[in-house]
Amino acid sequence: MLEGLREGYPGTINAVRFGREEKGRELGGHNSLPFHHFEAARPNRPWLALEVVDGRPEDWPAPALDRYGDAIASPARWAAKAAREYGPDMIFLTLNSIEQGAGPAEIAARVAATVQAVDIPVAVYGSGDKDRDVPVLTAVAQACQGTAILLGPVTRDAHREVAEAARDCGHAVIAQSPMDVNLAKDLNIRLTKLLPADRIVIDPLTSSLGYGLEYSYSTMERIRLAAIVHDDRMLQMPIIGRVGKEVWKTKEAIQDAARGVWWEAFTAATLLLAGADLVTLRHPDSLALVETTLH
Amino acid sequence: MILIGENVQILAKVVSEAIQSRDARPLQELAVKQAEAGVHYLDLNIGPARKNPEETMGWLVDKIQEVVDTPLCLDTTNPVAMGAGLARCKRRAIINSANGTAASREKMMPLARKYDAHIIISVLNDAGIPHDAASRAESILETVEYANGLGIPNDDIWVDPIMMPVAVAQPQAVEVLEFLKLLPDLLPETRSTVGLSNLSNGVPVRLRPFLNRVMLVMAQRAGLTSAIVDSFDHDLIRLAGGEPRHLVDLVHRTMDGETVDMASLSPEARDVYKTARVLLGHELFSPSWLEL
Repeated sequence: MLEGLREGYPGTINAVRFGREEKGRELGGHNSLPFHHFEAARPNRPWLALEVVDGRPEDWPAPALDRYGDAIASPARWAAKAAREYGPDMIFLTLNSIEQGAGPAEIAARVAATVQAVDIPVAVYGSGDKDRDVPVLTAVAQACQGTAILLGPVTRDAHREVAEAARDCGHAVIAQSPMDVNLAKDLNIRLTKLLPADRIVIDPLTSSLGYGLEYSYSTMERIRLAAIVHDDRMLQMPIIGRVGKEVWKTKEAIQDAARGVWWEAFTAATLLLAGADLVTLRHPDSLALVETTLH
Repeated sequence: MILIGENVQILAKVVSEAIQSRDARPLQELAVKQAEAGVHYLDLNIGPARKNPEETMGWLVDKIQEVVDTPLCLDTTNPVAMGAGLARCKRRAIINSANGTAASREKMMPLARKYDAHIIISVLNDAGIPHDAASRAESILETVEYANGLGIPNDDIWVDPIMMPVAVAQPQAVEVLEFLKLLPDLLPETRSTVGLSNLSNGVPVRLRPFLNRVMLVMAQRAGLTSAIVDSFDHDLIRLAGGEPRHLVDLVHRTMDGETVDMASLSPEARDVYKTARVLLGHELFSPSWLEL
């Protein structure tokens, strides 16, 4: 009887493939709204990524680092430990060393070693300063050829070089736009002239609980409705919510690590409800909490 | 379609500088060029005019009337400036604009009777800008009833549904069209006008005319009787006159829900079709909408 009441939707989220050929995994690929399991099966569950950094983790509070001990001295060791002990779907590597003065070749070699050190897909995120990021991200793209990583950010003002490098080396890009469904679409229109639509992940920017989470929620929700319900092909990319960095700079998280874990898990779970397909977390306990929530 | 030329407006640097230094020449040139472009009224927008409101509007009206006899549409939120300008208009002018807020009812509306002028009344009220066609209707019924009570007849009233920027509030374009269709039944004999260019605010300058032109054709079909427009958009003025016919027809067919094969269209027509689809809400707006 329920069969007849089931809604069908015209739009499907692109499946974006990551990782080395033999161990590749797909993100997205569903044609249902978040957690509407009663409407359609979801081929791939949302991904929970653990964040690691190269260089010094200066913007990390101690409680989120404690679990990793001296592994934080090397992103490859840190990533390997995170992957082995906590079972994330992806490693999200932020290149702190760009701002700490490292050069593109040095960084690219470190990233390549990190990618080799784990069996799961890897995302690599620059400093947000386009002049410094472009040479680094293009070098990373080349050094990681054949491993299908996720590279970003690319923005409206700086997307061509990194998108072309990603295309040539078989990677995907994080398309970042400022919390606006129209501008997210605009950037995707531009990017799809450079690389296939299934090589793009949307980053509409994340705000933490208490710091504008509602805006992130409503932007992600609008992107998802446009993609699934209105079949807007220029928004049918998986969405990333970069949660860890935003949460662990709030005073609520810094002052009280236990509260920070809840803060991080709650922010992430909320964005998954809004339509995020990939969320990044800093604290392994937050990952476990979100994992429990998903089940 | 009565066209009101928008180009003497304070947000343009050349205009604000000329007004400030009382240099009439650039303003007179703008007025003459607009009149030559074929618009029927000239809008004179001096903004809120906090300093010397009477003197500023009075001077501007005099200087413009020295070089053109096109009737004027005085555009300020300052009732003192408005009164001073209306007192000097040689031909019957338009007050731009009044609305349903208490301040406007009290200070701006009475000027229409006092100076025997047309008056643009927008759907704005003390609650803000209504967000759909029905609440626009509710607001304007109440405001026009008040205006009628002051002795302003419907045929002196130009209803402004308020055009919102498509980059900010895409669904509002359809609400404006729906409201325009309702208007003759709601308030017979009233006219209507919109500040058309606001539709494309925030859109790259090169692309703005595409939106303005297609919206004008759609709004005209929905019953719009006048618009405040860029006098120097020659293609817009042609479209307001129904030319070229095939593009006007294409917009009408799109409004009627016809699916058009894009491959069969010329590049120019394709842009018109894509724009109509965005304004009708069939395609989510983005600044690259023509590239899809």
